[in-house]
Amino acid sequence: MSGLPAWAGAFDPDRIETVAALPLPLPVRDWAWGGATGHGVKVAVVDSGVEADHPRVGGLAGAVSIEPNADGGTKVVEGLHEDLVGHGTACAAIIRMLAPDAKIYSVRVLGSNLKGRGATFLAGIRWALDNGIHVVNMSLSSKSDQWFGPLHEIADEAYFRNVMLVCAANNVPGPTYPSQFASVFSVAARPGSDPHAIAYNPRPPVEYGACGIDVDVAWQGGGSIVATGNSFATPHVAGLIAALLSKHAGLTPFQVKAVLQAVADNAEG
Amino acid sequence: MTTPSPELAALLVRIGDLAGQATRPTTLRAELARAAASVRQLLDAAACSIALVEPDGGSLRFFAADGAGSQAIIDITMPVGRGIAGWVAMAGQGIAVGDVSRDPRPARAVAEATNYVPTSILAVPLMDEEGAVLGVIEVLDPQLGSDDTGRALDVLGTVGDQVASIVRLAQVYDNLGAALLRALTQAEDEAGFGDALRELVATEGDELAGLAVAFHDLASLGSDASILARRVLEEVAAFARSRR
Repeated sequence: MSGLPAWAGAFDPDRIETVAALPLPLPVRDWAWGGATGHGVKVAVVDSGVEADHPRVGGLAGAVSIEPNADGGTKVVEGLHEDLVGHGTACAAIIRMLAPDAKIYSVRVLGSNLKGRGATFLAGIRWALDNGIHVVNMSLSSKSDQWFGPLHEIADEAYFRNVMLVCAANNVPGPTYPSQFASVFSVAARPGSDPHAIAYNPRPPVEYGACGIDVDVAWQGGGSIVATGNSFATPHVAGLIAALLSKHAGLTPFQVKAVLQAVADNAEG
Repeated sequence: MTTPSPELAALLVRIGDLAGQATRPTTLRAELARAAASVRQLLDAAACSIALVEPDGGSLRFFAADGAGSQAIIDITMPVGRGIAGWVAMAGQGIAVGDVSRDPRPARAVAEATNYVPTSILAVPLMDEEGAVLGVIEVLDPQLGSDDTGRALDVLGTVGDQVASIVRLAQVYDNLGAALLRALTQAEDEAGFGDALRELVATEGDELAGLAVAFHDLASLGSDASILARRVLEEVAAFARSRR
Protein backbone atom coordinates (compact mmCIF):
# COMPACT_ATOMS: atom_id res chain seq x y z
CA MET A 1 0.00 0.00 0.00
CA SER A 2 1.30 3.44 -0.84
CA GLY A 3 1.85 5.78 2.08
CA LEU A 4 -0.14 8.69 3.32
CA PRO A 5 0.26 12.03 1.51
CA ALA A 6 3.79 13.36 1.99
CA TRP A 7 2.53 16.36 3.93
CA ALA A 8 0.28 14.34 6.24
CA GLY A 9 1.31 15.13 9.79
CA ALA A 10 3.58 17.99 8.69
CA PHE A 11 1.45 20.45 10.65
CA ASP A 12 1.04 18.39 13.81
CA PRO A 13 1.93 20.71 16.70
CA ASP A 14 4.31 18.09 18.13
CA ARG A 15 6.17 17.56 14.87
CA ILE A 16 6.28 20.87 13.09
CA GLU A 17 9.70 22.39 12.54
CA THR A 18 10.63 25.97 13.26
CA VAL A 19 11.44 28.06 10.19
CA ALA A 20 13.52 31.22 9.76
CA ALA A 21 11.43 34.10 8.42
CA LEU A 22 11.95 37.66 7.22
CA PRO A 23 12.22 40.19 10.09
CA LEU A 24 8.99 42.06 9.40
CA PRO A 25 7.80 44.71 11.91
CA LEU A 26 6.42 43.22 15.13
CA PRO A 27 3.86 42.11 15.87
CA VAL A 28 3.86 40.68 12.38
CA ARG A 29 0.15 39.84 12.29
CA ASP A 30 -0.71 43.47 13.04
CA TRP A 31 1.69 44.67 10.39
CA ALA A 32 0.25 42.21 7.86
CA TRP A 33 -3.48 42.68 8.30
CA GLY A 34 -4.24 44.71 11.39
CA GLY A 35 -7.21 46.89 10.49
CA ALA A 36 -7.37 45.43 6.99
CA THR A 37 -10.80 44.74 5.51
CA GLY A 38 -10.07 43.41 2.05
CA HIS A 39 -11.36 46.67 0.55
CA GLY A 40 -10.53 46.96 -3.15
CA VAL A 41 -9.47 43.34 -3.51
CA LYS A 42 -11.28 40.98 -5.88
CA VAL A 43 -11.50 37.34 -4.88
CA ALA A 44 -12.83 34.54 -7.08
CA VAL A 45 -14.24 31.35 -5.60
CA VAL A 46 -13.78 28.67 -8.26
CA ASP A 47 -16.11 25.94 -7.04
CA SER A 48 -19.69 24.63 -7.04
CA GLY A 49 -21.26 28.11 -7.09
CA VAL A 50 -22.03 30.48 -4.21
CA GLU A 51 -25.35 31.22 -2.54
CA ALA A 52 -25.19 35.02 -2.76
CA ASP A 53 -27.94 35.69 -0.23
CA HIS A 54 -26.54 33.43 2.45
CA PRO A 55 -26.20 35.59 5.59
CA ARG A 56 -22.57 34.64 6.00
CA VAL A 57 -21.73 35.48 2.39
CA GLY A 58 -23.40 38.88 2.35
CA GLY A 59 -23.71 39.27 -1.39
CA LEU A 60 -21.48 38.84 -4.40
CA ALA A 61 -19.79 41.32 -6.70
CA GLY A 62 -20.45 39.00 -9.62
CA ALA A 63 -21.02 35.44 -10.72
CA VAL A 64 -20.32 33.35 -13.78
CA SER A 65 -20.82 29.71 -14.60
CA ILE A 66 -18.38 27.92 -16.86
CA GLU A 67 -20.22 25.27 -18.82
CA PRO A 68 -19.10 22.73 -21.40
CA ASN A 69 -20.01 23.22 -25.04
CA ALA A 70 -21.17 20.50 -27.35
CA ASP A 71 -17.93 20.90 -29.33
CA GLY A 72 -15.74 20.11 -26.33
CA GLY A 73 -15.04 23.75 -25.51
CA THR A 74 -16.53 25.89 -22.79
CA LYS A 75 -18.81 28.89 -22.53
CA VAL A 76 -19.22 31.54 -19.86
CA VAL A 77 -22.76 32.15 -18.55
CA GLU A 78 -23.01 35.39 -16.55
CA GLY A 79 -25.41 35.94 -13.68
CA LEU A 80 -26.18 34.66 -10.22
CA HIS A 81 -26.60 30.94 -9.84
CA GLU A 82 -27.31 28.43 -7.09
CA ASP A 83 -24.65 26.53 -5.21
CA LEU A 84 -25.06 22.95 -6.33
CA VAL A 85 -23.72 21.53 -3.10
CA GLY A 86 -22.82 24.16 -0.53
CA HIS A 87 -19.05 23.98 -0.73
CA GLY A 88 -18.55 27.20 -2.67
CA THR A 89 -20.80 29.01 -0.21
CA ALA A 90 -18.66 27.69 2.65
CA CYS A 91 -15.52 29.05 1.01
CA ALA A 92 -17.05 32.45 0.23
CA ALA A 93 -18.26 32.84 3.82
CA ILE A 94 -14.81 32.08 5.22
CA ILE A 95 -13.27 34.67 2.92
CA ARG A 96 -15.98 37.18 3.92
CA MET A 97 -15.17 36.58 7.59
CA LEU A 98 -11.48 37.39 7.08
CA ALA A 99 -11.81 40.10 4.44
CA PRO A 100 -15.32 41.58 4.95
CA ASP A 101 -15.02 44.30 2.29
CA ALA A 102 -13.49 42.14 -0.43
CA LYS A 103 -15.37 41.84 -3.71
CA ILE A 104 -16.20 38.16 -4.00
CA TYR A 105 -17.01 36.56 -7.34
CA SER A 106 -18.45 33.09 -7.81
CA VAL A 107 -16.91 31.17 -10.70
CA ARG A 108 -18.87 27.94 -10.92
CA VAL A 109 -16.88 25.27 -12.72
CA LEU A 110 -18.51 22.18 -11.25
CA GLY A 111 -21.59 21.05 -13.08
CA SER A 112 -23.70 18.06 -13.87
CA ASN A 113 -21.17 15.91 -15.70
CA LEU A 114 -17.60 14.78 -15.08
CA LYS A 115 -16.76 14.92 -18.76
CA GLY A 116 -15.06 18.19 -19.56
CA ARG A 117 -14.18 18.75 -15.92
CA GLY A 118 -10.57 19.72 -16.69
CA ALA A 119 -11.60 22.14 -19.41
CA THR A 120 -14.11 23.99 -17.22
CA PHE A 121 -11.62 24.13 -14.38
CA LEU A 122 -9.00 25.70 -16.65
CA ALA A 123 -11.55 28.09 -18.17
CA GLY A 124 -12.54 29.23 -14.69
CA ILE A 125 -8.97 30.25 -13.91
CA ARG A 126 -8.76 31.95 -17.30
CA TRP A 127 -11.88 33.96 -16.52
CA ALA A 128 -10.32 35.11 -13.25
CA LEU A 129 -7.13 36.21 -15.00
CA ASP A 130 -9.03 38.08 -17.68
CA ASN A 131 -11.28 39.91 -15.22
CA GLY A 132 -8.86 41.56 -12.85
CA ILE A 133 -9.19 39.08 -9.99
CA HIS A 134 -6.43 39.40 -7.38
CA VAL A 135 -6.95 36.20 -5.40
CA VAL A 136 -8.36 32.90 -6.72
CA ASN A 137 -9.63 30.30 -4.26
CA MET A 138 -9.47 26.81 -5.69
CA SER A 139 -10.57 24.02 -3.41
CA LEU A 140 -10.20 21.72 -6.39
CA SER A 141 -7.44 19.79 -8.06
CA SER A 142 -6.69 17.44 -10.89
CA LYS A 143 -4.43 14.39 -11.06
CA SER A 144 -4.69 14.26 -14.82
CA ASP A 145 -1.45 14.30 -16.74
CA GLN A 146 -3.47 15.71 -19.62
CA TRP A 147 -4.02 18.90 -17.65
CA PHE A 148 -0.57 19.18 -16.12
CA GLY A 149 0.76 21.33 -18.94
CA PRO A 150 -2.20 23.70 -19.38
CA LEU A 151 -2.58 24.19 -15.62
CA HIS A 152 1.15 24.75 -15.19
CA GLU A 153 1.14 27.31 -17.97
CA ILE A 154 -1.79 29.28 -16.58
CA ALA A 155 -0.40 29.08 -13.02
CA ASP A 156 2.84 30.62 -14.27
CA GLU A 157 0.87 33.31 -16.08
CA ALA A 158 -1.02 34.10 -12.88
CA TYR A 159 2.21 34.29 -10.92
CA PHE A 160 3.76 36.79 -13.32
CA ARG A 161 0.55 38.86 -13.32
CA ASN A 162 0.48 39.01 -9.50
CA VAL A 163 -2.65 36.89 -9.26
CA MET A 164 -2.58 34.69 -6.18
CA LEU A 165 -3.79 31.14 -6.89
CA VAL A 166 -4.63 29.53 -3.56
CA CYS A 167 -5.05 25.77 -4.01
CA ALA A 168 -6.09 22.90 -1.78
CA ALA A 169 -3.69 20.00 -1.39
CA ASN A 170 -5.23 16.57 -1.93
CA ASN A 171 -5.66 13.71 0.56
CA VAL A 172 -5.12 11.20 -2.21
CA PRO A 173 -1.46 10.15 -2.54
CA GLY A 174 0.52 11.43 -5.49
CA PRO A 175 0.83 14.82 -7.16
CA THR A 176 -2.24 16.88 -7.94
CA TYR A 177 -2.40 20.05 -9.98
CA PRO A 178 -2.15 22.98 -9.61
CA SER A 179 -1.49 22.51 -5.88
CA GLN A 180 1.84 20.87 -6.75
CA PHE A 181 3.21 23.94 -8.52
CA ALA A 182 5.65 26.41 -6.93
CA SER A 183 3.72 29.31 -8.43
CA VAL A 184 0.64 28.72 -6.25
CA PHE A 185 -0.17 28.79 -2.54
CA SER A 186 -0.71 25.15 -1.61
CA VAL A 187 -2.77 24.65 1.54
CA ALA A 188 -3.63 21.76 3.87
CA ALA A 189 -5.82 21.62 6.96
CA ARG A 190 -4.31 21.61 10.40
CA PRO A 191 -5.74 21.46 13.90
CA GLY A 192 -6.79 24.66 15.62
CA SER A 193 -9.69 27.08 15.72
CA ASP A 194 -7.94 30.44 15.15
CA PRO A 195 -8.91 31.49 11.60
CA HIS A 196 -5.90 33.83 11.44
CA ALA A 197 -3.36 31.14 12.40
CA ILE A 198 -1.05 29.77 9.73
CA ALA A 199 1.80 27.28 9.83
CA TYR A 200 4.55 26.98 7.26
CA ASN A 201 5.75 23.57 6.08
CA PRO A 202 9.48 23.71 5.30
CA ARG A 203 9.07 20.58 3.17
CA PRO A 204 6.88 21.69 0.24
CA PRO A 205 5.07 21.37 -2.13
CA VAL A 206 2.33 21.84 0.47
CA GLU A 207 3.51 25.09 2.07
CA TYR A 208 0.76 26.39 4.32
CA GLY A 209 -1.41 24.83 7.01
CA ALA A 210 -4.56 26.63 8.11
CA CYS A 211 -7.77 26.11 10.03
CA GLY A 212 -9.69 23.31 8.32
CA ILE A 213 -10.57 20.58 10.79
CA ASP A 214 -14.03 20.46 12.33
CA VAL A 215 -14.79 24.06 11.39
CA ASP A 216 -18.26 25.57 11.37
CA VAL A 217 -18.96 26.63 7.79
CA ALA A 218 -21.83 28.08 5.81
CA TRP A 219 -23.76 25.65 3.61
CA GLN A 220 -26.54 25.72 1.07
CA GLY A 221 -30.05 26.67 2.06
CA GLY A 222 -28.79 29.41 4.34
CA GLY A 223 -27.52 26.82 6.78
CA SER A 224 -24.24 25.75 8.25
CA ILE A 225 -22.43 22.50 9.02
CA VAL A 226 -19.22 21.32 10.64
CA ALA A 227 -16.68 20.28 8.06
CA THR A 228 -13.11 19.07 7.63
CA GLY A 229 -10.82 19.18 4.64
CA ASN A 230 -8.00 20.96 2.93
CA SER A 231 -10.69 22.60 0.85
CA PHE A 232 -11.87 24.50 3.94
CA ALA A 233 -8.35 25.52 4.97
CA THR A 234 -7.76 27.02 1.53
CA PRO A 235 -10.27 29.90 1.81
CA HIS A 236 -8.75 30.82 5.15
CA VAL A 237 -5.46 31.52 3.38
CA ALA A 238 -7.27 33.20 0.47
CA GLY A 239 -9.11 35.48 2.89
CA LEU A 240 -5.94 36.38 4.75
CA ILE A 241 -4.21 37.17 1.46
CA ALA A 242 -7.13 39.40 0.45
CA ALA A 243 -6.84 41.27 3.74
CA LEU A 244 -3.08 41.59 3.32
CA LEU A 245 -3.40 42.96 -0.22
CA SER A 246 -5.94 45.55 0.88
CA LYS A 247 -3.39 46.93 3.31
CA HIS A 248 -0.23 46.35 1.25
CA ALA A 249 -1.35 46.74 -2.34
CA GLY A 250 0.87 45.54 -5.12
CA LEU A 251 2.66 42.75 -3.31
CA THR A 252 3.86 39.99 -5.59
CA PRO A 253 3.17 36.28 -4.97
CA PHE A 254 6.71 35.73 -3.69
CA GLN A 255 6.33 38.66 -1.29
CA VAL A 256 2.99 37.39 -0.06
CA LYS A 257 4.49 33.95 0.47
CA ALA A 258 7.24 35.52 2.57
CA VAL A 259 4.69 37.42 4.68
CA LEU A 260 2.63 34.28 5.26
CA GLN A 261 5.79 32.49 6.34
CA ALA A 262 6.65 35.36 8.69
CA VAL A 263 3.25 35.28 10.38
CA ALA A 264 3.35 31.50 10.73
CA ASP A 265 3.06 30.06 14.21
CA ASN A 266 6.28 28.14 13.68
CA ALA A 267 8.29 31.13 12.37
CA GLU A 268 11.21 32.68 14.18
CA GLY A 269 13.35 35.65 13.28
CA MET B 1 -15.74 -10.35 -40.74
CA THR B 2 -12.51 -12.32 -41.01
CA THR B 3 -12.07 -16.02 -40.37
CA PRO B 4 -9.09 -16.31 -38.04
CA SER B 5 -6.75 -19.28 -38.11
CA PRO B 6 -7.49 -22.08 -35.61
CA GLU B 7 -4.47 -21.00 -33.60
CA LEU B 8 -5.63 -17.39 -33.37
CA ALA B 9 -9.23 -18.42 -32.74
CA ALA B 10 -8.13 -20.57 -29.79
CA LEU B 11 -6.14 -17.68 -28.42
CA LEU B 12 -9.12 -15.34 -28.74
CA VAL B 13 -11.36 -17.79 -26.95
CA ARG B 14 -8.85 -18.04 -24.14
CA ILE B 15 -8.55 -14.25 -23.88
CA GLY B 16 -12.32 -13.99 -23.86
CA ASP B 17 -12.58 -16.56 -21.05
CA LEU B 18 -9.99 -14.74 -19.03
CA ALA B 19 -11.70 -11.41 -19.55
CA GLY B 20 -15.00 -12.90 -18.49
CA GLN B 21 -13.59 -14.48 -15.36
CA ALA B 22 -11.76 -11.35 -14.36
CA THR B 23 -14.58 -8.97 -15.03
CA ARG B 24 -17.78 -10.73 -14.01
CA PRO B 25 -19.62 -8.06 -12.02
CA THR B 26 -19.76 -10.31 -8.98
CA THR B 27 -15.98 -10.34 -8.88
CA LEU B 28 -15.60 -6.57 -8.77
CA ARG B 29 -18.55 -6.31 -6.42
CA ALA B 30 -17.00 -8.89 -4.14
CA GLU B 31 -13.66 -7.09 -4.10
CA LEU B 32 -15.28 -3.72 -3.42
CA ALA B 33 -17.60 -5.19 -0.79
CA ARG B 34 -14.55 -6.53 1.05
CA ALA B 35 -12.92 -3.11 0.80
CA ALA B 36 -16.07 -1.41 2.13
CA ALA B 37 -16.24 -3.82 5.05
CA SER B 38 -12.58 -3.22 5.89
CA VAL B 39 -12.96 0.54 5.78
CA ARG B 40 -16.08 0.39 7.94
CA GLN B 41 -14.24 -1.67 10.54
CA LEU B 42 -11.14 0.53 10.34
CA LEU B 43 -13.13 3.66 11.12
CA ASP B 44 -15.72 1.97 13.35
CA ALA B 45 -18.40 3.45 11.14
CA ALA B 46 -22.11 2.75 10.72
CA ALA B 47 -21.69 2.13 7.01
CA CYS B 48 -19.30 2.40 4.09
CA SER B 49 -20.26 2.50 0.45
CA ILE B 50 -18.43 2.67 -2.86
CA ALA B 51 -20.10 4.41 -5.79
CA LEU B 52 -18.70 4.32 -9.33
CA VAL B 53 -19.10 6.89 -12.06
CA GLU B 54 -21.52 5.76 -14.77
CA PRO B 55 -20.16 5.72 -18.33
CA ASP B 56 -22.07 8.88 -19.27
CA GLY B 57 -20.20 10.81 -16.57
CA GLY B 58 -23.41 12.26 -15.20
CA SER B 59 -24.16 10.03 -12.25
CA LEU B 60 -22.74 7.79 -9.56
CA ARG B 61 -24.02 4.24 -8.97
CA PHE B 62 -23.56 2.61 -5.59
CA PHE B 63 -21.73 -0.60 -6.39
CA ALA B 64 -20.81 -2.05 -3.01
CA ALA B 65 -21.61 -1.30 0.62
CA ASP B 66 -21.30 -2.61 4.13
CA GLY B 67 -23.23 -1.75 7.28
CA ALA B 68 -26.47 0.16 7.80
CA GLY B 69 -28.69 0.13 4.73
CA SER B 70 -26.04 -1.61 2.66
CA GLN B 71 -28.40 -3.94 0.79
CA ALA B 72 -30.87 -1.21 -0.05
CA ILE B 73 -28.31 1.19 -1.42
CA ILE B 74 -26.83 -1.12 -4.06
CA ASP B 75 -27.50 0.09 -7.63
CA ILE B 76 -29.04 3.35 -6.52
CA THR B 77 -27.82 6.19 -8.73
CA MET B 78 -27.47 9.86 -7.98
CA PRO B 79 -26.36 12.80 -10.12
CA VAL B 80 -22.73 13.92 -9.78
CA GLY B 81 -23.87 17.51 -9.70
CA ARG B 82 -25.48 17.13 -6.29
CA GLY B 83 -24.59 16.08 -2.81
CA ILE B 84 -21.37 15.56 -0.97
CA ALA B 85 -20.33 12.49 -2.97
CA GLY B 86 -21.06 14.44 -6.14
CA TRP B 87 -18.89 17.34 -5.02
CA VAL B 88 -16.07 14.95 -4.11
CA ALA B 89 -16.25 13.39 -7.56
CA MET B 90 -16.40 16.76 -9.32
CA ALA B 91 -13.71 18.45 -7.24
CA GLY B 92 -11.44 15.43 -6.89
CA GLN B 93 -11.05 16.31 -3.21
CA GLY B 94 -11.88 14.51 -0.01
CA ILE B 95 -13.98 16.17 2.69
CA ALA B 96 -15.62 15.32 5.97
CA VAL B 97 -18.97 16.88 6.84
CA GLY B 98 -20.77 16.76 10.15
CA ASP B 99 -24.31 17.70 11.08
CA VAL B 100 -25.52 16.63 7.65
CA SER B 101 -28.97 16.01 9.09
CA ARG B 102 -29.34 19.80 9.20
CA ASP B 103 -29.47 19.75 5.43
CA PRO B 104 -31.29 16.62 4.24
CA ARG B 105 -31.23 17.49 0.55
CA PRO B 106 -27.88 16.01 -0.49
CA ALA B 107 -28.58 12.55 0.87
CA ARG B 108 -32.35 12.44 0.55
CA ALA B 109 -32.54 9.74 -2.09
CA VAL B 110 -30.04 7.58 -0.30
CA ALA B 111 -31.60 8.16 3.11
CA GLU B 112 -35.06 7.30 1.82
CA ALA B 113 -33.79 4.10 0.26
CA THR B 114 -31.77 2.94 3.22
CA ASN B 115 -33.92 4.34 6.02
CA TYR B 116 -30.72 5.61 7.59
CA VAL B 117 -29.88 9.29 7.99
CA PRO B 118 -26.25 9.83 8.98
CA THR B 119 -24.92 12.55 11.19
CA SER B 120 -21.50 12.75 9.58
CA ILE B 121 -19.94 11.72 6.29
CA LEU B 122 -16.34 11.18 5.16
CA ALA B 123 -15.84 10.97 1.42
CA VAL B 124 -12.83 10.71 -0.89
CA PRO B 125 -12.55 10.26 -4.65
CA LEU B 126 -11.29 7.16 -6.43
CA MET B 127 -8.94 8.27 -9.18
CA ASP B 128 -7.04 6.27 -11.76
CA GLU B 129 -3.43 6.79 -12.73
CA GLU B 130 -4.39 9.30 -15.40
CA GLY B 131 -6.39 11.36 -12.94
CA ALA B 132 -9.86 10.41 -14.11
CA VAL B 133 -12.38 10.14 -11.29
CA LEU B 134 -13.70 6.56 -11.13
CA GLY B 135 -15.93 6.90 -8.11
CA VAL B 136 -16.24 7.85 -4.47
CA ILE B 137 -15.87 6.07 -1.12
CA GLU B 138 -18.30 7.33 1.48
CA VAL B 139 -18.15 6.51 5.19
CA LEU B 140 -21.18 7.23 7.37
CA ASP B 141 -20.85 8.13 11.02
CA PRO B 142 -17.26 7.08 11.72
CA GLN B 143 -16.36 7.02 15.40
CA LEU B 144 -13.50 9.49 15.57
CA GLY B 145 -11.80 11.36 18.35
CA SER B 146 -11.96 15.13 18.46
CA ASP B 147 -8.72 15.61 16.52
CA ASP B 148 -8.88 12.54 14.30
CA THR B 149 -10.94 13.76 11.36
CA GLY B 150 -8.02 15.11 9.35
CA ARG B 151 -6.01 11.96 9.86
CA ALA B 152 -9.02 9.82 8.94
CA LEU B 153 -9.33 11.68 5.64
CA ASP B 154 -5.67 11.01 4.88
CA VAL B 155 -6.09 7.31 5.65
CA LEU B 156 -9.27 7.08 3.60
CA GLY B 157 -7.54 8.83 0.71
CA THR B 158 -4.77 6.26 0.79
CA VAL B 159 -7.23 3.36 0.94
CA GLY B 160 -9.11 4.97 -1.93
CA ASP B 161 -5.94 4.91 -3.98
CA GLN B 162 -5.80 1.13 -3.60
CA VAL B 163 -9.50 0.62 -4.27
CA ALA B 164 -9.15 2.69 -7.42
CA SER B 165 -6.53 0.23 -8.66
CA ILE B 166 -9.04 -2.62 -8.33
CA VAL B 167 -11.65 -0.66 -10.25
CA ARG B 168 -9.18 0.37 -12.89
CA LEU B 169 -8.01 -3.21 -13.48
CA ALA B 170 -11.56 -4.48 -13.77
CA GLN B 171 -12.45 -1.77 -16.26
CA VAL B 172 -9.38 -2.53 -18.32
CA TYR B 173 -10.39 -6.18 -18.69
CA ASP B 174 -13.98 -5.19 -19.16
CA ASN B 175 -12.99 -3.46 -22.36
CA LEU B 176 -10.94 -6.36 -23.71
CA GLY B 177 -13.75 -8.35 -25.24
CA ALA B 178 -15.19 -5.29 -26.92
CA ALA B 179 -11.81 -4.31 -28.35
CA LEU B 180 -11.25 -7.78 -29.77
CA LEU B 181 -14.73 -7.93 -31.28
CA ARG B 182 -14.35 -4.54 -32.91
CA ALA B 183 -10.99 -5.55 -34.35
CA LEU B 184 -12.41 -8.80 -35.71
CA THR B 185 -15.36 -7.15 -37.38
CA GLN B 186 -13.14 -4.54 -38.98
CA ALA B 187 -10.52 -6.98 -40.30
CA GLU B 188 -10.54 -8.51 -43.77
CA ASP B 189 -8.02 -11.23 -42.94
CA GLU B 190 -5.67 -12.28 -40.18
CA ALA B 191 -3.06 -9.66 -41.03
CA GLY B 192 -5.83 -7.10 -41.05
CA PHE B 193 -6.85 -8.21 -37.57
CA GLY B 194 -3.47 -7.14 -36.21
CA ASP B 195 -3.70 -3.87 -38.12
CA ALA B 196 -7.20 -3.24 -36.77
CA LEU B 197 -6.01 -3.83 -33.21
CA ARG B 198 -3.15 -1.36 -33.71
CA GLU B 199 -5.57 1.16 -35.11
CA LEU B 200 -7.68 0.78 -31.98
CA VAL B 201 -4.63 1.53 -29.88
CA ALA B 202 -3.80 4.59 -31.97
CA THR B 203 -7.29 6.01 -32.03
CA GLU B 204 -8.45 5.22 -28.52
CA GLY B 205 -5.30 4.69 -26.51
CA ASP B 206 -6.99 1.54 -25.26
CA GLU B 207 -4.62 -0.34 -22.98
CA LEU B 208 -6.62 -3.51 -23.49
CA ALA B 209 -6.26 -3.27 -27.22
CA GLY B 210 -2.53 -2.96 -26.54
CA LEU B 211 -2.64 -6.17 -24.53
CA ALA B 212 -4.55 -7.89 -27.31
CA VAL B 213 -1.96 -6.70 -29.83
CA ALA B 214 0.82 -8.12 -27.69
CA PHE B 215 -0.82 -11.57 -27.57
CA HIS B 216 -1.66 -11.44 -31.24
CA ASP B 217 1.96 -10.64 -32.09
CA LEU B 218 3.16 -13.42 -29.82
CA ALA B 219 0.83 -15.89 -31.49
CA SER B 220 2.03 -14.82 -34.92
CA LEU B 221 5.59 -15.82 -34.03
CA GLY B 222 4.69 -19.48 -34.34
CA SER B 223 3.18 -22.40 -32.52
CA ASP B 224 5.64 -22.44 -29.62
CA ALA B 225 5.03 -18.76 -28.87
CA SER B 226 1.29 -19.33 -29.21
CA ILE B 227 1.46 -22.16 -26.67
CA LEU B 228 3.40 -19.87 -24.34
CA ALA B 229 0.73 -17.16 -24.72
CA ARG B 230 -2.03 -19.64 -23.91
CA ARG B 231 -0.16 -20.93 -20.87
CA VAL B 232 0.30 -17.40 -19.56
CA LEU B 233 -3.40 -16.74 -19.99
CA GLU B 234 -4.36 -20.01 -18.35
CA GLU B 235 -2.18 -19.27 -15.35
CA VAL B 236 -3.69 -15.82 -14.98
CA ALA B 237 -7.19 -17.29 -15.32
CA ALA B 238 -6.39 -19.86 -12.63
CA PHE B 239 -5.13 -17.08 -10.42
CA ALA B 240 -8.31 -15.08 -11.04
CA ARG B 241 -10.40 -18.14 -10.08
CA SER B 242 -8.42 -18.66 -6.88
CA ARG B 243 -9.05 -15.06 -5.89
CA ARG B 244 -12.81 -15.56 -5.67
